[in-house]
Amino acid sequence: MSGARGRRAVAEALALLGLGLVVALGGHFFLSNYWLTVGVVIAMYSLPSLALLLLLGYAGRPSFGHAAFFAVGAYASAVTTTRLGWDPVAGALAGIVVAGAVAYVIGFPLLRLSGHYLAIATLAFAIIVRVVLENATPLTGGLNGIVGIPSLGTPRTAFVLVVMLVTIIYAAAVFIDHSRIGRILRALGDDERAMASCGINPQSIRTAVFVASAVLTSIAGSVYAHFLTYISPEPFNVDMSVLFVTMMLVGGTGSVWGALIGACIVGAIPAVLSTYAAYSALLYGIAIVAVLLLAPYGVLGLPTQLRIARARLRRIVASGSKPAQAGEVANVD
Amino acid sequence: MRLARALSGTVAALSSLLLVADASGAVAAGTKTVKIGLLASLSGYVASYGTDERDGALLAINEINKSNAIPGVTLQPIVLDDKGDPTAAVEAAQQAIDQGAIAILGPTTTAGTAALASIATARQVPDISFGLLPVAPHAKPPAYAYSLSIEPNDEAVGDLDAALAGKNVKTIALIYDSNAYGQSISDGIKREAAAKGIRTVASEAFKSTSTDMTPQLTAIRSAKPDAIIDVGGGTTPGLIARQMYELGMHQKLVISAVSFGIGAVKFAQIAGPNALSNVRHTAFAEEVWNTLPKADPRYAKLQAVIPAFRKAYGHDPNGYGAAAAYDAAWVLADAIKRADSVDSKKIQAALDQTKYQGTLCLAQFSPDSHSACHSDSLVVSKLAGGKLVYGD
Amino acid sequence: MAEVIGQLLVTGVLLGLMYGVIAVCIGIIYNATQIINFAQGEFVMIGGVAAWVLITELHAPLWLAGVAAVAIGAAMGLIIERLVINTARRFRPPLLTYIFLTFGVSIILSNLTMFAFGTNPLIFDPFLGRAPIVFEKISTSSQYALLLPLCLVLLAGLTFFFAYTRYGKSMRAAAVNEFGAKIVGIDVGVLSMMAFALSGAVSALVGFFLTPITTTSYSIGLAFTLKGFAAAITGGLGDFRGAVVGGLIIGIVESLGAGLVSSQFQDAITFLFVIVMLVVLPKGIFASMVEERDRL
Repeated sequence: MSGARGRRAVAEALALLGLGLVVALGGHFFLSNYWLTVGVVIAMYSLPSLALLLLLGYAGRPSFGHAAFFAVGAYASAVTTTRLGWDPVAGALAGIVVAGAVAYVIGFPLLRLSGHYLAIATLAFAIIVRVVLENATPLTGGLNGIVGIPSLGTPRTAFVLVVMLVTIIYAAAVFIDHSRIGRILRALGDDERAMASCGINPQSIRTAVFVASAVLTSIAGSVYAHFLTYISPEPFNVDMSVLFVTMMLVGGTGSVWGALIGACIVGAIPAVLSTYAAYSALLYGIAIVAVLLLAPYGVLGLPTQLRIARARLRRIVASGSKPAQAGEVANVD
Repeated sequence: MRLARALSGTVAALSSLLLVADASGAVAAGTKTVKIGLLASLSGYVASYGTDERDGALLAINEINKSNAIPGVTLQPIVLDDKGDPTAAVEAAQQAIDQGAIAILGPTTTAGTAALASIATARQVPDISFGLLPVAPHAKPPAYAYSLSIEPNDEAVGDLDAALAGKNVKTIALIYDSNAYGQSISDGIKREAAAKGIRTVASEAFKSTSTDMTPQLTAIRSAKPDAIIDVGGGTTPGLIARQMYELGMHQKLVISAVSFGIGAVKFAQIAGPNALSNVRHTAFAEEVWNTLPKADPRYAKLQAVIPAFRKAYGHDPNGYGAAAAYDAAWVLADAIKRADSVDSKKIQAALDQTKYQGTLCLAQFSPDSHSACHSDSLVVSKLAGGKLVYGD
Repeated sequence: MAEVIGQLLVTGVLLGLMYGVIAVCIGIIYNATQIINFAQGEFVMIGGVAAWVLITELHAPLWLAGVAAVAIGAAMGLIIERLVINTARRFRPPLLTYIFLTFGVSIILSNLTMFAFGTNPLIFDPFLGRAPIVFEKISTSSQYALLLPLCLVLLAGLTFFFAYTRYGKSMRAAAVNEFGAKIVGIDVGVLSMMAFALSGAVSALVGFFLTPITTTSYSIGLAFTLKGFAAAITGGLGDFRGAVVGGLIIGIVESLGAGLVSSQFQDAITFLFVIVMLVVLPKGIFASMVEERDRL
């Protein structure tokens, strides 16, 4: 990494760390317990959002099953801390190891698939993991779950802790994204021939990215277990996997910041709508559709979208003709 | 992004601080308004229970305020959706407490209740849940010092289910919804059945979204049990009864308490008229309110509550949830009155001495027992004329 | 044992037909637009609800309820295509975005249904009465058995439509090569509208048939979508025979798995089978001629 790009990477990473520090301190001094709780949830979910962004950006693969890795992290932390009396950090590390190993084993057969076929395969994987957790009763407590997981402390402590953890991970991700490896991965995406011509084995790269995304998601799962102090298999369902992808899409897949912005928006919508109680779920659905319609490339894609719109407008003004029809707009991807 | 949130949060925090300051202290002369959190699943898979619970609790709160049941105090509910998800329940609880709630009613699910336990304890705000307390050794005080449940515990339900199935029965089969509720109750039934010398010959699970339990029932059919016990709510009891009829299975079908989330009329409609004669149900009094023995202390209460519910909402309660939440609100009011204070700690102390005749049961809490009802709170019922009636 | 396996197979086939017909509905939209509609289950649900309103509230005859369900399903399909899909199409977002758009639509539809009709399940009587069809010790409800002719008629009708009619052929052409289709004068927007309307109509008809078996309510949509999606994928996306075969395989595995192995592991067995199938046949059983146009 050298020159302007390197300086930009350092600047962005530092900006993130600074922002994280400000948010952590600001939250610590000014936020109510409720908003601190919402903040912890957003920060926690921003990790799977990042994991999916890297998976899509670097390996060209979507996943509809990352709730499984989230569950693995949560259960590893819960089981090791409540049954074996481990330290929470050791528990989270156990989660990382297990999630990484599982991802490595299933990565090889699954990542050969693509598109909708991979979507259903990852979804199926998450369902299998959930059923196993439901039935491994001696270890996981089965459907009754595990109670009495050590707490992260008051919402204030939890907020500062989780925000700092997430900030450091994001700063590292920004740094890697701007590095030579990150740029090569992004440029190649899942173009197998391009990779092969650079002497890279696409299959092993994909598996490595998959493992990394599983590890990131597992960390969030560990946070979840200590944050709620109770876990059961029920919440690790399709809705959770879908939520992770929604966050990534709403933010935009072009840069690491998209995952963070998406998590903030999608996480904050229910909090803002909570006063509408019974209508909050309906309004949430409307909000998701509206955001994706107004910004189909995510919030980060808005500038590009504006550029296209402006160009189109200029063309209309110049020619005095009707607006361009669907399909005439150049593909922005 | 986050800064904007931080700012709006600050405003919320400051205003909530003012409210907390306002809400603490002893009951003074004149009417004072205190807030309570009302958490229920108003969306998601368990919304049929959650909406009933919200309505039942609001009905009770309205009555409490109108009759001045707590002298000088008016209750103001903060209604929030727990979405059937523990994370949402935790957020909602923090929001309610931040806005000055001195106690919480709900949430709907066991998972939500368990996730709330540490918050209730840390912030010393009593929580009367509509769901079962989780089954675990430390899901009791002191860890659950501020978490109570208006329902019976798993042993109480399992006991009656097993007893009901057990008349002239040597073998039973279980079919249960694969969630925390289904597992804990069916474990309770197995223990109680074993204690009575009844053998459990099959134990099959289904998902609450399942519509075809024929595979499970086929497996049960070949195990030839004398009776079948179903644990699980929504449409599934009706579907099971119908599919048993279609498979030519004529055993007694005992539908466990809390499983009739949709009411007897809907159940009968789903099951069909031919599938009803062998069905028994361990019901809450509320479900058979019209045919209870008049000597039952719940009879008179329910004669007033159910018509009031119908008048307020234009329909009957779907199942047991409305009565449970109705009782929870009254139990809380009773405790506030006895504590003669709106201080959360004093209310919790009063709650631990609760002995209140509700519509579900004689609700009793003590410092080491936080499930309000016991097995005598459930009654045996059967279906007659498309309705659930008291008796075997 | 023979009667157990026989019963499980029959149940599996009927369950499989149910998943299969939903997979066919998913395939109709996919074939014309390459979009996987995550609100497909809600179309099924709305068909059932519409029929319920006519039968129970308005005491309409059965055939009229069926017609109304089909009409409302088609209208829903059209509305969603115009309001959401067509609006999104202006910027040509990746296909992944459409999945989440339609998922958002499914949240909206299910919550609107909850507010309009409550949380209680809705049901009306089976078309041919309650008496089960019994053969030896194997039995099933008559309503379930109706799925078999429904499925055959659907398959025949759709095969005819896509193979022999002008619009059907245009839809296939547009799916293979949208640009080429435009050059020869096919209006892709109109085809997309037709696909959503047709799929909505067929889904609603399926919902009309299924309601006496499964009941219908605001929350049933997602389960239908997931099983239908899995069936469509296992069979090979866009192939109608594949959709039915995929559905049958999933139904039979589900039934045998729950009845013979373990009902606790029912979903794990079914979806493990799906994964194994996909690893062996990465494009489904009837691997589609149509390459996926865009990566997700």
